[in-house]
Amino acid sequence: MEISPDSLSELLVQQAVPSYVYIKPVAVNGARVTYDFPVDNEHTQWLYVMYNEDVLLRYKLNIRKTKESIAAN
Amino acid sequence: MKIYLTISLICLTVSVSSQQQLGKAEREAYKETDPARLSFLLTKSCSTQTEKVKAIFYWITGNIAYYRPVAKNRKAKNKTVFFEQEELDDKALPSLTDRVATKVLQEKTAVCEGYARLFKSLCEYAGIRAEIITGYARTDANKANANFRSNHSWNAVYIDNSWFLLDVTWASGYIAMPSGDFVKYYDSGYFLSSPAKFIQHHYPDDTRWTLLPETPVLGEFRYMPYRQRSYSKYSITSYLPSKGIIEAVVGIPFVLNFNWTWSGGRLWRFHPILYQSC
Repeated sequence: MEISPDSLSELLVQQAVPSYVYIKPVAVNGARVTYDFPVDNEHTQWLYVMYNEDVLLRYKLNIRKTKESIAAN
Repeated sequence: MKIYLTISLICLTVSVSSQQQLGKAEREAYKETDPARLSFLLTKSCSTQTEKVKAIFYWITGNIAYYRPVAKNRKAKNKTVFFEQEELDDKALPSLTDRVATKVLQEKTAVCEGYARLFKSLCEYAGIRAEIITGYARTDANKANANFRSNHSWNAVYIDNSWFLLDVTWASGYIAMPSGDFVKYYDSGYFLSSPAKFIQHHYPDDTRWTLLPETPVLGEFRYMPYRQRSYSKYSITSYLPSKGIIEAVVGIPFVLNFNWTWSGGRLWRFHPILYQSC
């Protein structure tokens, strides 16, 4: 279980959505850091960028399936 | 005729006496700078939780003015605060919320966080659970979507086993333009509003405080990601994607890009963590 990013977070709620993703940068160029975010399911709706347990940015994800993944299901 | 006059006089005397008592109680409450005692004064005659919350909410809106800083006095004010912080003794320090609440009661002015902390403090002394919610408040001034960030504080209060939302700052008045003066104007529309109505102008950092089953997607996301309160702690000079909505396909990774620097110009030693939720 991760330490919650803010004092209001309740562990039970976080346990229901345990979705922290640790990824290493694919490129570091001076202060510029690049990451590839893997998309492995269509259920993810929100992406939070965190640092030192602080949430910094919130993105909305619109993920669609490929024809192959639809056919596989 | 005599009887009628006597009854009228008695009624008048009772009315004047109760008004004097009311005036005395109001003055007593206005002078009070201790949140615990003020909470007791405001709620002692209330019998339900809703009545207590309403009494607290209404008193704050009527007695606290929105703080408008005067640029030339700002430095001196900061110095005073610093000096006061140095004077701590070995007594147990009250909570930050209580300290802010006391300060607000002394000065009778606050910005949104001071309003929200005062409300929370008074509610808790009245035995009512309240939380401070931080997030984005949509105003006419930032409709241009260039300012989609955490910029406001409001409250949630727990009454009769349910959470309700309210904004005591916005209920107390507004800033007149172009003068920038605070105009006291009670607006009951921000008291225990429905979540569906509240979300139209109050978007919380912690989306559970929308009190809605689904987190709504604000139109602002079309222009930029939401900057949470902690964003300003870190010197992020740029980020990609620059828009707040990312279109992605299962199996195909997408690129995130950040310029991570801090005021010393050093690169952060560690990398951010990404958190995804459904």
